[in-house]
Amino acid sequence: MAIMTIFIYEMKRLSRSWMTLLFAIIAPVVLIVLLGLALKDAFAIGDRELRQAEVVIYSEDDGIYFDALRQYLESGDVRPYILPVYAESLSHLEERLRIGEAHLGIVIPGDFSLAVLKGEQAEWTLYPGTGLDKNIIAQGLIQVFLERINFAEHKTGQRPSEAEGQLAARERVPVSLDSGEGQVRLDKLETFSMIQYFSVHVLIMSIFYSGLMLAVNLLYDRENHLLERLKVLPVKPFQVVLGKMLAFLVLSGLQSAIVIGLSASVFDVDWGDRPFVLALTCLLTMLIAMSLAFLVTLIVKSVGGVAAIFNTIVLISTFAAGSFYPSPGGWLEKFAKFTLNEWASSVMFSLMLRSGDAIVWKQTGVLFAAGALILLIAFSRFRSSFFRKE
Amino acid sequence: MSIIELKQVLKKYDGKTVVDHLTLHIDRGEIFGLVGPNGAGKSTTIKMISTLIPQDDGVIRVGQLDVKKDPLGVKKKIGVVPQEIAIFESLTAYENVAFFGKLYGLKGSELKRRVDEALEFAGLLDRKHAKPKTFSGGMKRRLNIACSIIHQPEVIIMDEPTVGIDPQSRNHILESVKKLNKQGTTVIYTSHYMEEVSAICNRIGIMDHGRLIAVGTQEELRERMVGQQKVIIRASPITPALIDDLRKHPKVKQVTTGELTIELLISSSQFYLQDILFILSEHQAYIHSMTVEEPDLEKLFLSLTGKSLRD
Repeated sequence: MAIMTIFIYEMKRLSRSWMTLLFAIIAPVVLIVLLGLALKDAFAIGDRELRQAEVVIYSEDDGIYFDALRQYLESGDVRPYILPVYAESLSHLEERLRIGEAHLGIVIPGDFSLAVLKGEQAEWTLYPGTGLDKNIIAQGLIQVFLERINFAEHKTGQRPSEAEGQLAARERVPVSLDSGEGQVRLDKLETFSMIQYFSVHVLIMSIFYSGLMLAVNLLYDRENHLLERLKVLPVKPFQVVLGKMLAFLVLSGLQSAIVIGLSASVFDVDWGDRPFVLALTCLLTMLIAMSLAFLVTLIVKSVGGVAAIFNTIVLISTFAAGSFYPSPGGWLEKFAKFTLNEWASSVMFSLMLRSGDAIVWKQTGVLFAAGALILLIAFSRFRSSFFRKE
Repeated sequence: MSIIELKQVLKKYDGKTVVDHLTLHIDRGEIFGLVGPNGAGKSTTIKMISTLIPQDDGVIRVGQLDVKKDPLGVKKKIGVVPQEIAIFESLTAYENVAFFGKLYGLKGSELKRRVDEALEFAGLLDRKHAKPKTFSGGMKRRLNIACSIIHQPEVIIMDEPTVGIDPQSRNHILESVKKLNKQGTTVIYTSHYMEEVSAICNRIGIMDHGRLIAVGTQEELRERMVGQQKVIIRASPITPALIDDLRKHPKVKQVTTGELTIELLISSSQFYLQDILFILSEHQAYIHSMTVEEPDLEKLFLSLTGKSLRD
């Protein structure tokens, strides 16, 4: 009852604030429209045929996953978009990138196949080359391949010893990418356009800014002694926080619906065919943003301070996740793995690419776990002194 | 019968004692004034009674309920008017009061009736659909009060509710406090204005350094004004013999002379002015004027704390 009362009155306050209208509704709409108009002619699939991206590969691994990669790149679904070039040496790969011929470089370490089979961490190194759109497409397709071999390993669920090694693996790991129970099945391959790419990141950034608005609201109410006043009422502190969070969740939901609806209806952005999972992903991202906002207000005591810190978090994680420009790789890419933008966008891209349910649910699970962790930290740090202006 | 009881209440901040083993009781139906210089511990005391902060030691009971054991029960019995104006600027006056009413569990027609009553009490019924940003400071203060009385609490705690407002609004608030009290509400009132406290409070407590250094009715407190009654006489001639005789009087503590004035500090309220007049007459002094300064609470406060109330 108290939560609903606080929620309803918070919604009244929000609906009467021009700042809310500006930041929560108008700004994302303007951003989507501007990006849509700017990118529609240049990048939209269907408007212009995409040319092949040259992907130069240097592999020290001759195991089964290198074979699988070759098959994947030669498959009818991928070939129109990627022209594979197999480099003889690392310097050959670097030269192709340097002279601007290659759009993406991949270096596969010698123990990659074996490491994957043993369930150990295995990594490729990607080198982005010239051509923003081709680079993104090539990275997206390679990502699809990597996700699917991860999925195949996950489904077999067996971890052979090193001695069993390659022989056992060759018997059970897919040679073909399109058949068999427990094997990787490559559905009809799709890729995403620039407007899709940026729509996802505008959506995530908007959701995070809703979190900032919640943080500012909490601090405003604390600075104006409104939270302290609520504390002398027969209401539990968590009811106050949850009532407010609920209002900003609704606002953020409305904002997301506008971004998704506008981008889909005006710029034909395809958000996939699983609206429930998309809605759930948005909801989890919102919960993370709200929890993060709450956590920041527990640490920072002024509206200016919270805005500065939240902006920094949003900008750094947005940049690291490649929202402004595809990630150049290296440590930044590793760092991006720890950002919520990366995980939220991964789910959305997977939905757009119509990846398998297992991949989507795995990514959603990570998002859920991250959200739960932040919420747990926020509430564990919660003290009743939060309500008082110091 | 006590509605609020504090027994040996202790509160420390960072090792510094802010409220020092305070024992106090406030009877049902009283208007109790709590005064003290800045840092005396009165706001901390108010916050502990309001359940905003917990005491480190001792017991606080409101209407027989222990504030530590049953804070929600205590919150239902009290209404707190904070020192700061804590209202929602983007909600109308009606919505502000209704919001607090709903959080106290009121709903439906009863909520509407109570909101109208609270706004009428605050003199804001005709502005109920206006937003506080269009209100004067005094009107906001009154709305601040209306939000706290919506649930008709047994005890109203008012923490300096008249800070920074015009005399008209101040009078309105003081009259409102009396009206609330007549309806049976117990009021705890803190202020920096001794004349406000004198005007409305039945009993007054003076705090300093976390302790209650004096408590009682106004008459009881004035009784404590030993040595504070002053008699100022303009007379001539003022001779050394006259001064000597005045000094010899057992009730005169101190004599100060000017060119044409004599100031006497009297050590007892049981003092008869005839004694002074007799001495002046004996010395054939012509009396131009005579003023007796009655003891007031401001002076008592000064004598007890060594500070002015507004310091």
